[in-house]
Amino acid sequence: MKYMFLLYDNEDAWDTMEDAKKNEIFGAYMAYTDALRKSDAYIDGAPLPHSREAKRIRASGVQDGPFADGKEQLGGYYMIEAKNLDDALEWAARCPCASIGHVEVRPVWNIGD
Amino acid sequence: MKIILLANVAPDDFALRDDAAKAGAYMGEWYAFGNAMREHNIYVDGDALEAPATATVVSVRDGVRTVEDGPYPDTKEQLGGFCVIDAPDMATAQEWGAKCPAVKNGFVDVRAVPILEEGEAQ
Repeated sequence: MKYMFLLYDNEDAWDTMEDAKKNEIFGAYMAYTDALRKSDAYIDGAPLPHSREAKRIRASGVQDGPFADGKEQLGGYYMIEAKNLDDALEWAARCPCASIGHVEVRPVWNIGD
Repeated sequence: MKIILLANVAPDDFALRDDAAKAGAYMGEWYAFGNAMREHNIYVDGDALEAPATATVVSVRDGVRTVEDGPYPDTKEQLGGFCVIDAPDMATAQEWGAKCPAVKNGFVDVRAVPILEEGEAQ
């Protein structure tokens, strides 16, 4: 089954974080991605730039980021292949984001396209 | 540039998925949107997500794992799907975002996806 991990963390924290700490977290993400690949669980993934660079489009118009609707913002995602939800939750707990923010695990809707 | 369109769907629209009388027309809008992107050769990838009620949120603090029912954060509109497109610039991506069916009652976030070199995180 395919799952999407939505990685929420405090995006402002990255602005003031020391390089050593950033590199430590990047390294943890590299190791995590590597582990996903070795288990054939990795499908896709990407970090997303700060939401100040994003646009939000509604019927009423376009809103410039950042989006202050929550302390934590979507900062990246993974698409993974897992046997079941428990397996997906195991992977989610190992994601570096789980230790600094929250990982939302969503099953992909198999609409058979 | 690679850009992700994050379709944040209103609760009433999620309900249309399970409405036997209306699901066909509702999903037809999504298929038409997907087809239009493919016809313009900008579509890279995409998926729809199960309803927010199926979400689970995982966090770990001091080695202790917390698993809660989602979604996270608990906002009115929730991610219903996404597509990655290859657009010449943000303005073009915004135009495509505005065509997404989620915009009618919800919203679409348009965010750049950095191209990472081999070996970088994610």
